[in-house]
Amino acid sequence: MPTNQEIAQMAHLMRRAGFGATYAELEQRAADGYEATVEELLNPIAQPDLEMDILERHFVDWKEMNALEVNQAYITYRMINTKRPLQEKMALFWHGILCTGNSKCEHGRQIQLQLDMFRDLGMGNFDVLLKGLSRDPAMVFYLDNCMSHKGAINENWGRELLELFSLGVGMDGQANYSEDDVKEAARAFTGWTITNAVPRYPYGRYESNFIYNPYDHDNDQKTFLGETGNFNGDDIVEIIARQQSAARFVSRHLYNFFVADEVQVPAWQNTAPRDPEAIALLERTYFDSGYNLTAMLRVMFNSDFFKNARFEKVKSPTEVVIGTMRLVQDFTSPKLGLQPLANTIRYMGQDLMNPPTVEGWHTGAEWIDSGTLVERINFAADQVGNTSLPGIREIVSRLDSEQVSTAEGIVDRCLEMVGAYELASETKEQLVAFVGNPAPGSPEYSDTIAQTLQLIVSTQEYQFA
Amino acid sequence: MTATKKDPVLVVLQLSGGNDALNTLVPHGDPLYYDNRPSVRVPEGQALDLDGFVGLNPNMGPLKRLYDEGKVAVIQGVGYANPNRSHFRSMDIWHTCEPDKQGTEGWLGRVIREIDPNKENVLTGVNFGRGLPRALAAPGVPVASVGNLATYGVLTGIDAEDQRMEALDIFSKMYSPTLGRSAVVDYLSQTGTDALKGADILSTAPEMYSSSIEYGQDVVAQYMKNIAQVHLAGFGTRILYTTAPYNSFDTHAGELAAHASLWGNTSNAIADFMDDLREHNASDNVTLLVFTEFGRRVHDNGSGTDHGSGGVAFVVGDNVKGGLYGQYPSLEEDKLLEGDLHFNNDFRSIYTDLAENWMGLDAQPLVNGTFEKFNFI
Amino acid sequence: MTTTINPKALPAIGIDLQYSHTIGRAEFSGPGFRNPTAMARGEEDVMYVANRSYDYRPDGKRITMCTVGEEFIGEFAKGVFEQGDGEAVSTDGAIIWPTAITVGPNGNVYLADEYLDRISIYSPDGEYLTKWERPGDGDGQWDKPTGMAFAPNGTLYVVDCNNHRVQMLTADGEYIGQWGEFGDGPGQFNMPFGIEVDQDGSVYVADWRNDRIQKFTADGKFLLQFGETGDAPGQFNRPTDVAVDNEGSIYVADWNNDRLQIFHPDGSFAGMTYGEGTISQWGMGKLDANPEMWEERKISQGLDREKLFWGPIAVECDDEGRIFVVETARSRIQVFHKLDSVFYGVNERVSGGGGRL
Repeated sequence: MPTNQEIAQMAHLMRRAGFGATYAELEQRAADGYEATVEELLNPIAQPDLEMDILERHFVDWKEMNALEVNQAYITYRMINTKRPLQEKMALFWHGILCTGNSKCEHGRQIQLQLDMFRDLGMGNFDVLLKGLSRDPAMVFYLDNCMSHKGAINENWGRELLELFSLGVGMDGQANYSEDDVKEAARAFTGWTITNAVPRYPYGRYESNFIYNPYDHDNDQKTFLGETGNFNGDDIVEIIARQQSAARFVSRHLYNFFVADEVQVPAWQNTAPRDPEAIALLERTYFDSGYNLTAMLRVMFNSDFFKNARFEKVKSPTEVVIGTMRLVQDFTSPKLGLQPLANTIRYMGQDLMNPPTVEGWHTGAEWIDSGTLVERINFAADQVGNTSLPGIREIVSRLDSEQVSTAEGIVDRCLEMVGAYELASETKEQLVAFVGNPAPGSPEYSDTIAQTLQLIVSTQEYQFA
Repeated sequence: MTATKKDPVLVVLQLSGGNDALNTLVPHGDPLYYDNRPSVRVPEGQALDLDGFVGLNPNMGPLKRLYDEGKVAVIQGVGYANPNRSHFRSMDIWHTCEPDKQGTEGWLGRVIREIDPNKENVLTGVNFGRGLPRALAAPGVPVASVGNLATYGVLTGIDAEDQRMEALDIFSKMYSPTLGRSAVVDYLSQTGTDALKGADILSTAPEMYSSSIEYGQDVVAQYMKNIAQVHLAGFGTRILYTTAPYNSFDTHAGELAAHASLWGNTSNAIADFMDDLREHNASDNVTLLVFTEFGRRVHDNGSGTDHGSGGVAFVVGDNVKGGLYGQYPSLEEDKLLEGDLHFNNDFRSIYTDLAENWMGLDAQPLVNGTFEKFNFI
Repeated sequence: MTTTINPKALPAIGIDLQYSHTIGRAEFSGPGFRNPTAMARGEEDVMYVANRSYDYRPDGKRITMCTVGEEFIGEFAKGVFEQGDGEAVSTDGAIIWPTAITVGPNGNVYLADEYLDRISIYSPDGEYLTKWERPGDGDGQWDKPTGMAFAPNGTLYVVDCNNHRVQMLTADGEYIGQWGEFGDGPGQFNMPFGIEVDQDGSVYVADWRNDRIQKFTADGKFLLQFGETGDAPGQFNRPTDVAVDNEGSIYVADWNNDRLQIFHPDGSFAGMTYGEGTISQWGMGKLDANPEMWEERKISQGLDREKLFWGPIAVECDDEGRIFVVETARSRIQVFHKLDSVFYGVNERVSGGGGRL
């Protein structure tokens, strides 16, 4: 039997490297061991993918997957049910950094193909991922590289590639690149374009394809980050990947997403990392592994700084909704209501595949305002209060079989069931006073547990991952 | 609450999906209208004539009544340069006043910040509907989003009233700021406390309300009723916003029936709303803006109309100088813009009027520029 | 010139299809379809098309009535458009997840809904008549009805997908019998989907997750099977529907291979098509109303993709020898005629003459 400490550690890992897990899964994984679980998460393709034939057969709009809403429903279902949680979490990670938005692209399928690319390449080498991104039609369109021509560059892609996708404006108080580097990068990517799209009517769109037009490529010398040559786009990416600032960029983003909330990205140039040693370790791993994300994730998840960072992050709306669904075990097979469920993520402030700008979403405490907090609390409370849901039934029958009957016992056990949460002592006392002492097996027992769960998910503590 | 009753209040009703301007404000005096609309048209002689040339859709009788009272400004040919025919993008442009780049801050979010910079009232801005329209979004500006006023609140999923009260009591203690342990937690405490306070106040609005007006059961009517309830409750709310059902004005097919029903409901709701406020002597400080993200194609597609540009907007209220504003865009082939009505008036002119002449604010920073006013107020 | 003869390798008779036209365009209402899943032919040139739409657009859930010549007649069983989170309604006559539609001997329209476990019956002009809502695994009950076909004698065969069986009912819905169970042996099924009864009363079932077609006698005795997993000719990737024409040729909607395959009555491969879609009349109307779409089409790359099937989910033959292929992901129906490769000359059927070489 795993100890409570081991369960708590596993709950932490699964919240961060995945989207949370039921208590039964946590027990199983804790018994398998922490490092073994990390290894399983790092090797997603060893786990079965979703059975897409069954899903497309029921959700018939998933073949075409055109409208944003259909895509959001799909991603939501995927995150709830995937047996490859880290792969999906990494796709979400990259989606929040290497942003493309439906408000401009207006073709959900094209963005979904980009997310597929993140699923394929997101745990591999950073330079390969950036090469994939440079060839991604949604991105080429979103950042106007298709409008950038030999002799008449559009800097949008060149700039965001450096600023938001790979280096960051600066670090340790210094700029990471110059305006000239932006222009030179843009020149190197001239001719990287896409085919003309097939219009939406009358039968629906088809995706655009990436295409290289050598006649529109600037073949003259470029000087980029101190190196000179007749660079093409891939050369730029390779130079980028060698930079210390690229290592910093990837490390800090991983830390911010998986370990603990950092200040918002624009402040990184002049704000030191929250944990400089952790960042230094990740940077070393970046270079030692040849820019490999899986290697960095392995070091991170096995580090003390990760293990000790429980509840140091405000959950994103996606984490609130998916984590709650994984807890209550709903939407494990096709049914109606998936779209409204996906909408709740939007209502909490994260319109997936449609971030507000290329900068993505601001994270941490900025997820929360009085409107989104009410959405979060009411959503989670509605779910855990529903004793017909399998995950809640499991919790009730578990406590029942354990004959947990004291108020304190019920509160403690419920906190463990939702992922080994800890409450401020005053808060816990209030919950204990609320619960009373219902007898296991009595009609009030399951209601009491449901209400206890509702109060737990309403706490400030539950807003943290 | 300390509410100054006579503070100007702006209500916005957003018609999502792109309302067909040509079948809303019908240019019945122009034969080109009938040429361009062989199937999807208001038949000759049926439009509710305004000036011998244009007339309202026959299902807009209640709005016509208000127009005849001189309380409706009809803004013709409204839009912006380089029109975008995407729902998302065009609505964003209307929301953020940023036609050239992607903006994140809503113009009404800025208005709310201007009115209540110190966030003294958690209910300065209230949205009706789930999720916050970008028009109201601005960093650090709290806006309550009310899906259903009758059931709005925290922990509404706890059915039994006494248990919910007990739970809310615990909630308020859990979020009481004294329990803080870090800046983030302090922020969460404050936010939770604000949310509870806002919900507590809002939930009293329906109880305080009584009226002889019977609104329809459709969503627009119910939200307009909610807006009246909140306004009449005197919480000091200055910006009230709602969207008509999601993309419902997106009449690609079956437009005649759908559009008739939408405008029947919408104009009834507007008239009921005005009557309701007047019954309570509360219409004198309210102005209502009705807008949509774009108009639709001049030519119909046999069953409906597709995304176009050049729209029509309405401003309604007892302080409004009613009448037709702006020119109706020409339907002549060579005057069209890519097959659409060519806009004559920038939408930010309307906002400028509302900000300056109604709300008494400097419009320039709110709408990102200087625009000629119509002076409909 | 040397001639080699290998008597064991006689060339097989193939069957080709001649493309006729495409019906439809993507719409949530009016002339057009949205994620159609099934169609049935009615009297004259009438056809009924069941549209599943997106779940968040229940207003697109409906049965469209039109003609083979693309005349829009009307629509029924239409869902209600609601605020953002609008969910489909389940009142009498409404549809949520339609899977199959067929016309009974009396001309009434039968629609199977796998969400509601319901078969709804409408008059030929779309008036709701009654329903059989029977969730379960007992006699005459079903767990996701996905296919329906009437036999010449009036028996209604219903595919009971999640119970992995076929049930027989009277036209009034009384239980007659059943066969099938989960498995991959003869007479067993794995989530069967579409069904067809030929002129002789034999029954064909698209055994969806076994990637094969099975043929049975009218009372369910196994006769033959063909197909296996794969994308070579004669192989399937999740076949969703099967149809048989008056000459016994078998058409299979090879859903995940995005193609239609044709088989001889003995189950041997006879031909296939990946689609030849063109712009429908309704599509033309849409493009003409939006002239810039024509301009976009002029420059668009890979427009040929538009010809290809995408999610061909249902296939139907009518008495005029036309074959209809319903594509969920393209919101349209492609219509074909069968071409027989056997020589008969132009005049043979008219004059009994020999035609010309």
